[in-house]
This record gives sequence, structure tokens and C-alpha cells, in this order.
Amino acid sequence: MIKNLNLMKKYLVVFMTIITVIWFGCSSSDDNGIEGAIFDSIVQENATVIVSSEVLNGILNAVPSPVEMTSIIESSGADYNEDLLNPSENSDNYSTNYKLAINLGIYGTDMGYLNMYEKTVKSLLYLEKVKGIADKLKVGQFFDFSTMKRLASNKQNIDSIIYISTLSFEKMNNYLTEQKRGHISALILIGGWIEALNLSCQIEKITDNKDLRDRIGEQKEALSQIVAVLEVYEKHPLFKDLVVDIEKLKKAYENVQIVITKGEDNVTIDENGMMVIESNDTQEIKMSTEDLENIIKVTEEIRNKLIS
Amino acid sequence: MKIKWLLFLILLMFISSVGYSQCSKDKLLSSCMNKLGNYTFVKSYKVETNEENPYLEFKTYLNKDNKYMIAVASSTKNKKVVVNLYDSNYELISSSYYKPKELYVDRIVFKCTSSGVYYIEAFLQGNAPGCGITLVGFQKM
Repeated sequence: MIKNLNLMKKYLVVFMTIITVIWFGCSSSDDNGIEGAIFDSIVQENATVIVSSEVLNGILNAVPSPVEMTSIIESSGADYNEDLLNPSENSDNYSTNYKLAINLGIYGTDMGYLNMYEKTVKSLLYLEKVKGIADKLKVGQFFDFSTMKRLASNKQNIDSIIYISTLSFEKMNNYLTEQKRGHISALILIGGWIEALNLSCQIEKITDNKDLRDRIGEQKEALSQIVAVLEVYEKHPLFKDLVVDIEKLKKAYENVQIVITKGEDNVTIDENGMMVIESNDTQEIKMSTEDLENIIKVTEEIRNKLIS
Repeated sequence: MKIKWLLFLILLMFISSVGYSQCSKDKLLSSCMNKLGNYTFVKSYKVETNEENPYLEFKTYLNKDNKYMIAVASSTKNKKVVVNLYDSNYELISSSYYKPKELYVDRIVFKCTSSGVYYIEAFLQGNAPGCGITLVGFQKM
């Protein structure tokens, strides 16, 4: 009887070990296969700011995607201009978490720009830099460099490259917010947005494109989302300079008006069973040339400070 | 007797952990991605609902002159993911449940004419607890 009981205990220990492994394996919250949290100095920096991942994700999701913003630039008909990007060799200059996170976002947008113009070889070089910076921030596991390198050998894979890059950034951001490192995620997003805005501004300066000009004006709404992110972290030491800079940009946008006239939406189901909604709202951007020039100037100053 | 209780508790933990892992975003992502067709992927949102939280709400920024596809997929049997799209003033634009034909669609195309924040509300048919995904892709108009 005692022998049986001992045997049963042994089985129980083995069983419990297996269960524990499964338990923690399955509890990884974002299906990314990473077991357990990474606790490092970055977590300590955030000790004064507590915000739920749901709330933070809600705010961060409202920031325009850099892929779309770079797509708008490409479809404006502007020529590809490599000089507008943050030079890849600058990546070695970044060592603080602030500079690393901001420039991870900046390089991410540059990568999006390169992909939109199908510059796959150059994009790979930027991915290498993104991976390097992400490694330093302990989130490099989300960037599969070898798969991307294989895909980049053929320009026809551009859609897959864009998809994998976008998904990698999304997984990384979700992971960061869940690991209570949302401030890093916020910096990455803000860096990405500033770079996309700066690209639009620089190209508008060269092309004087009406569409691009309107897109720059529209960013007043996006800027209010950035301000909402900064309100969460305004007391955080990492955000001190950024809060001041974004305030300058907010001031530059002060006179810009976005006028939306509501129209009746038209909803139909097409032959493939897909619902098609045609919005009949109209939007007008009211922005003077002086205001535009000021926005371009302030954006350029902020962006150049961030990449220095 | 104690051991039996312990085994029972462990079994419960095991069942709940397996249940949790069944709502895998990665699996749903690959099954739903094809629905986007030639739209460029922008974002994905996991729709994991329970009795306390049958509805989920996501913010998204949509740009003027882009067409957006919102595609949904569910891994909960006989329960489709339903999405409602709202504008920045929280006015309903449309739902993936098309009332005139009593039809649940799994793809919505929205032709956006004003940039800004939009809201996507997602839930499972009948407010059931379950698991699904919502993807957003875009294309130039």
C-alpha cells in the first residue's frame, strides 16, 4: 500500500511538472511563443507610470500606420529620394532606451517607404538596423531576418515583406504593452509618426503637391492622438524633451482647420457577398501657406533632433 | 482522498489552460489573411469575448481616399464575429450584419472620404463567449 502511494506521488510530481510547463507555455499572452516576462532596467524606468495595456493599445491604435502614410507619399507621384531617410549608419550612435525606441520607429517608417518604392535590397539593410536596435531593447525576437532576406531576393514578394514587417511591429508593440513597457511602444510609434510626417513635409516642399499638403493638414487629428499618448507619460523622465517638442508642433498646427460635412452613406452587398460602404462625407483642410511652412520647419527640427 | 482532490484541481488547471490557448491569434490570422486579397494588411485585433465582456472596441485611424477592408473570422463553432463600424462621433456607419437580407458578412469594404479615428466594435453572434479575429487592410481608391 505504502509502495503504491510512493509510486503515485512520483507520478504526481511528473504530472505536475508537465502541467506547470504547459500552463506557463499556454499563458503567453500574445501567441508569440515567448515564455515569461523579460524584466530589465527598462521596466524600472516605467515604475512611476501605470496604465493598462487595453487603455494604452486603444490610444496607440489611433495613431496612423506608417505603412499607410508612406503609401500616400508613393501614390502622390513623388520620386524616390533616399536622402530623406535616416542614414543607416546612424544606428550605431543610439545607446539610450529613448533614442533606441524613437529611432526604431523612425527606421520602421523608412523601411515602409523603401518597401513602397520596392527598394527591397535597401529595405533589408534597414531591417538589419531595426533588428539590431530591437535586440538592444530585448524585442529582437519579433523580426525574422532570415525569412525577410529570402523574400527580398525577389521583388514580387513585396506584399509578403510589407505584411511580415507590419505584423512584426504589431506583435512587438502588443508584447511591450503587455509587459508593462508601453512607454517604449509609445516612443516607437511617435518616432514612426514623426518620420512619416517629415517625409511628407520634405516631399511637399519639393513637389508642392495638393494631396500631400492636405495629408499634412489632416495630421492635426493624428497629432491630437500623439498628445493623448504623451498625456499618459508626461511625468515620465524619458518623455520630458518630447513633450516640449510636440507642444511646439501643436502650436504650429493651431490655425489648421479640418471641416467635415456629413453625407448619407451608401451600403450595398456585392456579387461576392461583400458589404461595400461608400461614405459621402466630405473633408476640407483649411491651412495657410505660412502655417504649412511653419509645420514643415518645426517637424524637420524635431525629427533632426531625434535622429542626432 | 487529498491526492484525488489535487488531481482534480490539476485537471481543471489543465483544461482551463488548453481552453485559453485555443484562442490563438496566429492560427486565426493565417486563416483570415486570405480574405484581405490584394488589400495591404494594416492591423489585426484579437476578438476574445466572455460573459463579462461580450463586446470589444478597437480604435483605428483611417485615411481619406483609401478603401479599407475589414475582414473577420471566428474559431467558435456556429458563432460568427460581427463588427460595427463607427465614425469619430460614435455614429454607426454600418454593421457586418446586413439587416435587409438578414445576412452576416465576413468582409466589409469602406470607402473612406474623411481622415480620422474610427471605432470598430466586435462581438460574437448572440453575444456568445468565444474567439475570433478582425483584420484591417487598405488600398488606394
